[in-house]
Amino acid sequence: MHPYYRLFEPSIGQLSGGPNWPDFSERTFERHNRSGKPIDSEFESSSQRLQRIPGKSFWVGPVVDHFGHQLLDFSTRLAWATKFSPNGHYLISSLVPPSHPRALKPRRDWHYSSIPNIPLYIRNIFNWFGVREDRIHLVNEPVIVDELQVFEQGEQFMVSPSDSYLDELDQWRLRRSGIRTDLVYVSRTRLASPFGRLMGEKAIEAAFALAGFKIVYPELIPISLQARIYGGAKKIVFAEGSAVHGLGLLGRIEASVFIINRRKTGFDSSVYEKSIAPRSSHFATIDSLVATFPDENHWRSVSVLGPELLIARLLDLGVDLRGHLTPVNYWNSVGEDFEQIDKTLEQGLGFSKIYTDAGPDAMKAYSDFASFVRHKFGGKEN
Amino acid sequence: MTKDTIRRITALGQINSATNYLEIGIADGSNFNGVQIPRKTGVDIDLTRFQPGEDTFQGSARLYEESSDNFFRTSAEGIYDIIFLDGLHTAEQTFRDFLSSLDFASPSTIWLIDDVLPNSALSSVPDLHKWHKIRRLLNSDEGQWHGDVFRCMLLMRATFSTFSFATITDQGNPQSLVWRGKNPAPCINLSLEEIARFTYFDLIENLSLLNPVSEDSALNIVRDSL
Repeated sequence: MHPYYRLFEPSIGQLSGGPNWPDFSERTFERHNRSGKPIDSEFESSSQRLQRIPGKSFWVGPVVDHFGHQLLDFSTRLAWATKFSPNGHYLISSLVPPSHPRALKPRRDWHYSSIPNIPLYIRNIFNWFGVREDRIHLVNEPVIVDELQVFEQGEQFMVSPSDSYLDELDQWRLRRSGIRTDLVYVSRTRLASPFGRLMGEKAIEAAFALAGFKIVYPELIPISLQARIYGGAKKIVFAEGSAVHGLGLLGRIEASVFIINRRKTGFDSSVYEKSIAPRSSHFATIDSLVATFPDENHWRSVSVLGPELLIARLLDLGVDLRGHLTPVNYWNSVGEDFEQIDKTLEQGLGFSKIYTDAGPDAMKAYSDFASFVRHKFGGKEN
Repeated sequence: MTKDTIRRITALGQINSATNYLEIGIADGSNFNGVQIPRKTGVDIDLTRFQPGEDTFQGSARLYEESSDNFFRTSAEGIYDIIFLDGLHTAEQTFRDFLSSLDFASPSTIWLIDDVLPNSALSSVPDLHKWHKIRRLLNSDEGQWHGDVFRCMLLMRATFSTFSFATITDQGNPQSLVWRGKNPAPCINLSLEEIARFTYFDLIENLSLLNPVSEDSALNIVRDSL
């Protein structure tokens, strides 16, 4: 069993690490799959003398500080493992640090030296499935395991969860008390960065609150609580983002799930449909964007929507924000977000490297975008 | 009990104009949700029973599902004005929580510590599993486990010469207050070994070591000396 030498590097296979399969090419089912195909590449075994982990171990996956990928990609073997073999070691692999001699151009700071150092939400995922921290083994150097069990991924990126996997998740959900919330809006307004946002979302959030929705701030509460809230809801509206994958802990829920799209390019929102539609009583995405300033990293793009478009689309889905969201308060909120972005850019923090490299041209492009939005939409909708 | 704690925290918050509250051991949230302080942080190793209050949905409450040791090591931030310690009811854990919280306290921070006065010898058993077992063996219907948090209070009184201590013993569940007051009382003269061997019965015989006072007096003392 190895740490990861590469994670999400598309040019030479997306992952490299984890179990060192003796018959790699034949282990297509057990290896890490996306869209029904393995996406990892073979790597050399280690010649050094290795620590041995006695007894039974289960392969869980790499550990990445990305909420959506950790849930959708790398946590879907857990429910099976805890069901069939509750005792044993649960193995997760860290990405090696860039200085590691076998590091293959790791671009991300996802190296962890110990379990308490991995992000709390990842430890909370294990906790949801009843796995205590002392049973998690972090692999950051190659180790030999006496016996390794690898269960299938319950779902994959772009592959819907199986019925049997949802059945299993239902069992875990039913062990926890629900929280009756009925109407829930999942906000991104508490993200630290002004980038990667729906601009004017504070006005949207306020409108949902006025319409009787409970507001969930995923950054402020543990994933177990998020899941229990979603499990007791009838309608959940998400501002599009990785928090949607919090539903991945749940099997089938009573709620209708609607996602307000945030990204126009560089991102295929059908990943949500594949994962969430089989879980929910009704699933829909809501396209109300009128302008987007794209970023090299698509998750950092900022988008502006048309408030009246949003109101109309939501009304079709039985959510009435009329009287609560007005163009005036929406565009005022957009203006406040522009000010926040301006302040961040003044501090030299901002969009991705592509814009930093472009220097003044990038600032001009952003400035043109801001002017375009202000003049075209400010105060009235297209 | 919950309403007594909320009343006390509210009064303490008025004394030091608290804006940031920390509660270790929030359990079902009945106390945490009732506290009216603008920003609140709740920590519990198991939030299975927690029911969110309105402030959870207003973004003024932040919740962590992890041990208090991990919380202080990796998640705690800023300065907390009121710190309510109601985690694992052992002297070691409560002492560790208090020590860790010092990094996130100001000179005007006030600590409220629960479970400082067991209501029986059985209640003072430090091991929760043992408490359950003995309860079953005795066919006891005693419902409260206080553990040996009282030893933590004795240790603090014997160690921290710059802190003031008082234990509220009326109007509900006994709880201790800790703050950096003017003219703190001298440390008590107990060795670590004596504290480790201190029993429930020793405590009852020497209750003055916890500086027992009425709630009104305790609040007045804090108000006057902070």
